[in-house]
Amino acid sequence: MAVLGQTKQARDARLAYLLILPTVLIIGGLVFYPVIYNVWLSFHQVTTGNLGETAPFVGLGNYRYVIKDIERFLPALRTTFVYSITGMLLSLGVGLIASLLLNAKFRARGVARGIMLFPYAAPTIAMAQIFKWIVQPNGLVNWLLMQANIIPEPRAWLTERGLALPAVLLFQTWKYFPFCMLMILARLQAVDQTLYEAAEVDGANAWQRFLHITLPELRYVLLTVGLLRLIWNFNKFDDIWLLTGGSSGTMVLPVLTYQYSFGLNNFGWGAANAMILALLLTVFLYFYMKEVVE
Amino acid sequence: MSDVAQAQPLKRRRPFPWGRVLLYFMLAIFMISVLVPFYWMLRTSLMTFGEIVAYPPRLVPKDWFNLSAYQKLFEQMQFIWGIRNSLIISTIVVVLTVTFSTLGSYAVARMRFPGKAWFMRGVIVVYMFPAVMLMIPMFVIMSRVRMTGTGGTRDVVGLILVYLTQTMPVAIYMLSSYFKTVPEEIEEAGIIDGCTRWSVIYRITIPLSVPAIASVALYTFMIAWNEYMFAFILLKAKETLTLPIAFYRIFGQFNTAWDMVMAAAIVISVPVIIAFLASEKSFAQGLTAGGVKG
Repeated sequence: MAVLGQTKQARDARLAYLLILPTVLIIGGLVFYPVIYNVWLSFHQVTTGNLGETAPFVGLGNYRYVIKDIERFLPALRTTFVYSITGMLLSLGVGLIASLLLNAKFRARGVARGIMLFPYAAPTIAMAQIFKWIVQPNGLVNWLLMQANIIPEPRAWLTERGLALPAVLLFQTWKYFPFCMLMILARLQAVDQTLYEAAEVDGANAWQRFLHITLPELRYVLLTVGLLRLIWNFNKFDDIWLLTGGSSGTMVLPVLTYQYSFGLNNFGWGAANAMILALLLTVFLYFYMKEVVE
Repeated sequence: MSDVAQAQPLKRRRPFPWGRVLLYFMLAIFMISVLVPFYWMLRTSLMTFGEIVAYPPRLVPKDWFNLSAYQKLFEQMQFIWGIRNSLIISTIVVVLTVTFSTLGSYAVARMRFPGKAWFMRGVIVVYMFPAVMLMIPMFVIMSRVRMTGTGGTRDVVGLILVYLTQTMPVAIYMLSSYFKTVPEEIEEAGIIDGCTRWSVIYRITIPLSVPAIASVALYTFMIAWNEYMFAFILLKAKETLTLPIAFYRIFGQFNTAWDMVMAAAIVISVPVIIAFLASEKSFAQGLTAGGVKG
């Protein structure tokens, strides 16, 4: 019996390996291998000219260049932190409010929920183009703000230093709050309703119920979503690239990685920059794995 | 009204529904901020050049059926090619992702094999993994094996391979958590009836999971359809560009054909918004566990 059971188990395991084989090949060959290759690149001088050939080893040269690049790297590092942390807080906060609204009962709730998902579902390129269009100097936003006497004359929201970063942050809040909303709402709907009934009997008002029941129940999902948004904002390329191209004080590390590689034709610098990004990211990932997955 | 209310005994007095008012007020703000940009996109796409540059901005187009921008757009060969390429690439990515992830997820949900925990951990890490880390090594690798810059099918194959790294982890995550909710007893009954593992998967598990698989398919489609960064880096020849890149190429940084830009934004957004709304409901359960990438 025991022998029979074991062979069945062994057969099962063999089948299981066969089933996961395509996934393992894809993840291994197309994620883990390139990542290791990126480490190799970061220690070699690779340019557009010698892509197909052997590149000279330069040790920590690329890293040294990038870290000493005061004009590009350091401001980009700062902006990356500002962008990802502020962006995370904004989309999480707005997403929380939206999910609380959608958790209330009202007519056409499904429609409201569907509409709120629009910015998240649509392609970044299309959303970025709309955004550019409405914040143009002679566009809708400037006109409205002037009508309301908030600004005396049109501003160039995406090309004026000091305005571009808030504008890009506004865009990312608008585009990604629905993601936070969806995740938080799913958790909200799973909260045990008797908790609220009990609290109401005890005379707790709405604010107290939110503070002492809803928030503790949401703690875990807020942490998860917050970390996810932080990690993904930290690595966002498309949004900033499409809106400003990294100009006017919006240069972030992912866009800089592109600039080093394709603008300055030095893939070694790009790879080193990406490695620094990865090291910082590992810290976030470590917290994510520790707090959320385990 | 308030006099009548006050005349009634205190206990039965219904307080003014401040909560409801606040709810609707907040909902209105959300609806306006989400819908106005989309409305502005539609309105601009239906306008003539003169109406677009008019100041102060016109709120509605003169002719709601002025489709000349769409007509001009579909006369652009690049745009037609973009639609064709995006459809082909997204469909292939969907088919491959659904096939491989169904197999892999079944193994994870139902079978016991050494290394399963590591496999899942790998999937999570890759899911969280920033695409920007793959930008440089993927470009260099693809250049070396001549799967970028050839201007032909090879580039497209390379891009499809890259997209699998973006879709497989999410798909495995969503599907395996769904498979776990399919009662194991049904499958055991099948095995007792003499079915092999393969026929159990094929005849029982897959038919029971059609809604989840459909969601994964739609979601995968959305990722491939919306993706910008890799297509931007790997595709160069104008016959091979996907829609987001064709869009970017046709309307570069400086253009004034805002009617066409907005028409293009609508054409590219509508299919994915529909796909996302159709898929979003059925993976709401898996959301808090797996989540969506973006």
